[in-house]
Amino acid sequence: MASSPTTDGLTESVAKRKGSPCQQDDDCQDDKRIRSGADLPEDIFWYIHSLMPLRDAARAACVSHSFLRSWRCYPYLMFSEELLRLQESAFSDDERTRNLISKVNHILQNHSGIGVKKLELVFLDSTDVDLSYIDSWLHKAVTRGIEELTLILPINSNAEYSFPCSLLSDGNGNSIQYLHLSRCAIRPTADLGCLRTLLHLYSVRITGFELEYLLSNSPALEWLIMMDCKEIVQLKIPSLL
Amino acid sequence: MAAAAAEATIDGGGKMIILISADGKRFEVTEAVASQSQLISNMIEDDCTENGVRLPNVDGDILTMVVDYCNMHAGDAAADGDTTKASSTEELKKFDAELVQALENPVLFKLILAANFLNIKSLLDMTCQRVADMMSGKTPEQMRETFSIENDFTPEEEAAIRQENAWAFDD
Repeated sequence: MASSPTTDGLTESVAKRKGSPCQQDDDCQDDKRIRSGADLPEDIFWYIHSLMPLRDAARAACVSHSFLRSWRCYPYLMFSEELLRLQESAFSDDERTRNLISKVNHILQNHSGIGVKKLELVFLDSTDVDLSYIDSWLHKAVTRGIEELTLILPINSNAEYSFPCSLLSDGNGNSIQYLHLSRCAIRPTADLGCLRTLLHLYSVRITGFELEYLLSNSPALEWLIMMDCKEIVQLKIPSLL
Repeated sequence: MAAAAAEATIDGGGKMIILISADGKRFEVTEAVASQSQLISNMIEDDCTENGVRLPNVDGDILTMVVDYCNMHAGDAAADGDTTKASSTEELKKFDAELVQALENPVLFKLILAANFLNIKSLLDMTCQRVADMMSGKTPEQMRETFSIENDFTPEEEAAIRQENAWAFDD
């Protein structure tokens, strides 16, 4: 499920990051170089930084000011027990869940929220997750430029959490391509943006009518995966798909 | 020889292009090979490759690697499914791995700069990924040492960020 960061070319990636307020905030200069014997422009080092896995990228943040600024906009935030190395510990399920929540919260509090392309919040084996945390994390990290969003809530969460669709309106949804939700509700009302790659719904509360509305805005969608969506009685797939 | 060849064609019918490195070395390649570089592809479209393409910030030894890479990869860009011409995926993977793994850092960085300047997306991704892989698993001190990066933190600043990211050190 956790896929590696997309390597979509520096020219494109750097252009995207340059276009983000993140770099402008950081006293951006043309052809800025990291002070080093390695004569690479800062934007190339930032691209390299984005290709490193989360833990390694966090350590690289301690290398220099430039890497720290890059870390504040690190684009691939993929959180699960596996990534944070919590799965093998001797803790109880409750302790592991608390530990994961505390780490995700800590990392996201220190992130600028800008430049995130991929956000994965995977609480598959967790016990109880306070839903107000989920809300604040999504509001922090789902910003302009977000491409992939995965939210997998614990088995016992009973789909009580309602995904805040408003996050994907106002332009944030323009870039979203991939949406994977599990054990929550989604009630699309506003314009959710145009999904292109994948819509994956597992144990999600959504009606057939609501899903039709979502699909009608995503005529280029490549994959639709649905399992255990009990509120769907019948579904008309829009003819454009 | 090079000037005459600039107008020549090869068996496949592709026009030949001359690339000229900073130190004056000349490389004769087909349009299909050269146009993996978005920069040169745009020049071909604008019809300004007649007298050869001068690349004043790419040395001959680096351009040799770039041309080898583009020759090897010409198949996957041009002829999807044409297995007679394209190198097999395994061959390509082996070639790519050997190309970047053998390089000392200064050469690898020059190759990254050349790929960035010539705008060859796949070569840029591969070389940047190599550096990312080399940085991964290292401590900040080792990263600085490997890539000669200056530590511009004060001791207090460094302690603060290390404490903030302490979770990434608890291996």
